[in-house]
Amino acid sequence: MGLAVFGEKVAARTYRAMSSLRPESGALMRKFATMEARHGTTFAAVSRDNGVEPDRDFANRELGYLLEQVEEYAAAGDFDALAVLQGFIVESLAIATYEPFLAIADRYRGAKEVFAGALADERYHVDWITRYLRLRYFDAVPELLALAERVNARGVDCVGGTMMNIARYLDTVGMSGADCAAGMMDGYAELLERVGLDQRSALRSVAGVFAPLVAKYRRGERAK
Amino acid sequence: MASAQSSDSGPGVVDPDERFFWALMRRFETLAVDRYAALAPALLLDEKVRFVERLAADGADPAALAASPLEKPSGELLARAQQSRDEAATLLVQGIVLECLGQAIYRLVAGRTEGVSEASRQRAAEGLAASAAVTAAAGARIAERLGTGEPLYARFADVTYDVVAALDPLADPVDCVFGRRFGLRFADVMGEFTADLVGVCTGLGMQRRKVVAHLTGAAMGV
Repeated sequence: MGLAVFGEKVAARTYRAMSSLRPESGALMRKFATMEARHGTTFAAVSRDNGVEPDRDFANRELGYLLEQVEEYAAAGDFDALAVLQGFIVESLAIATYEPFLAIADRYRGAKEVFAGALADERYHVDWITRYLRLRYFDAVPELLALAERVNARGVDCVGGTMMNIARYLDTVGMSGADCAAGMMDGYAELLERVGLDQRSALRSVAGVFAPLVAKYRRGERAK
Repeated sequence: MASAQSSDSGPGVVDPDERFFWALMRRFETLAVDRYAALAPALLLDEKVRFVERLAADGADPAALAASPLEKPSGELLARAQQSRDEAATLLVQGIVLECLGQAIYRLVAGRTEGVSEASRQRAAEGLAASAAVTAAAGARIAERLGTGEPLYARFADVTYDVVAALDPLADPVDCVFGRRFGLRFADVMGEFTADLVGVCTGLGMQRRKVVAHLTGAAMGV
C-alpha cells in the first residue's frame, strides 16, 4: 500500500511537471495530476480504515530513482520522455497490479471501489498518452523506437525493478507476483505497439530490460 | 585439436574465443539433431544436419568448456532438454523453445559489425536460417499432431517449464564469457528469444499474455 499511496503522489507530481512543458496540454495534465493525487488520498483512507500502515520508507526507496528521472526529464523540457515514463511505464505497473487486486479487494473494506475507480482513471490517462504519441510520431516510427529505448533503459529498469521488489508481497496477499510482472511487461509492450512499434520490436525491447531484473529476483537480490 | 578448416560455405573460424563459442553451440545443436533423429524426424532437415556437420568439422577443446563458468548451467539446460521423451515434448522443447533460443543467439552474432569475424558472422547466419527452418517445420507438425490454442498452451506450459527455468542461471556466465568479447549479452538474447517465442506461440493460437506469464513465471522460478 505504501507504493500505491506514495506512488500516486509521485504520479501527480509528474503530470504537474508535464503541465508546465506544453501549455496546450497544461489544463489536461493538471487534471490528470489532480486525479492521481486523489488516488493517493483515497488509498491512504482505505489503508487507515483497514488498519494497514503504508510503508513510507519502502516507498521512498523505490520511488527515489523514479523521481530522479522525472526531475531530469522535466529540467530538460523532455515532455515525450515523461509521457513514456509516466504515461506508459508507470501506468503499466499500476494497471498490472490494480486490475488483479480487484479480484481480492473485497477482503479490504472500501478497497474495491477506490481501486476500480483508480484503474479506470489510469486507463484514461494511458489512452490520452497513446493518442498523443501516435500523432506526435506518425510517420516517425524510428524516432519513437529511439525514444522508447532511451526511456526504457532506465525507466523499465527502475519501475520494473519495483515490480520485482514487490512481487513477493503480492504473493503474500493472494495475488501472483509473476502474473503481475508479466502483465506489466506485456501491457507496456502492447502500448508501444499501439503507438507504432511492431510486436517483435516492442517485446524485444521490454523483455531485454526485464531479463536482468528477473535474474536478480531469482537470486533473492533487490532489483535496484 | 583439429585445425581450422574451410567448409563449402566459407572460411573456418580461427579465433580461439570464437571457436569456444562454436564448441558450445555444437553441444546444443548436436543434441537437437540427435533428438530429432530419435523422436521427431519431421524436424531432421538437411539444412540443420549440414550445419551441425560443419560445426563438428571444427573439432573442439573439451577442457576449455569444462573449465568455463558456462559448463554447469549449459549442462543443466541440456540435461533438462534431454528429458523430452516423445515427439510432442521434443517438438515443443527442442523444436520451439531451444530453436528460438538458438535463433536469438545467431541473429545477434550475425548482426555484429565488430568484434566478430566474418567467418563467424556467416556461420551464425547459416545457423539462423537452419534453425528458423526447423521452427517452421515444428510449428506445422505441432498444429497437425497436437492442435492449437488453449489445449496446446496447457501442454506447452507443462513440458517447457523446466527448460525455460534453466535459462536464467546462464545470465552471468554468458555476460562474463561472451559479453566483453562479442558484445553478446544475456539480456539481449532474452529480448530476442522472448520476441521470437511469443510470435511462434501466438501463431499457434496461444494467448500472448499467457505465454508471457509462463515465461516470466518460469524465469522467476515460481
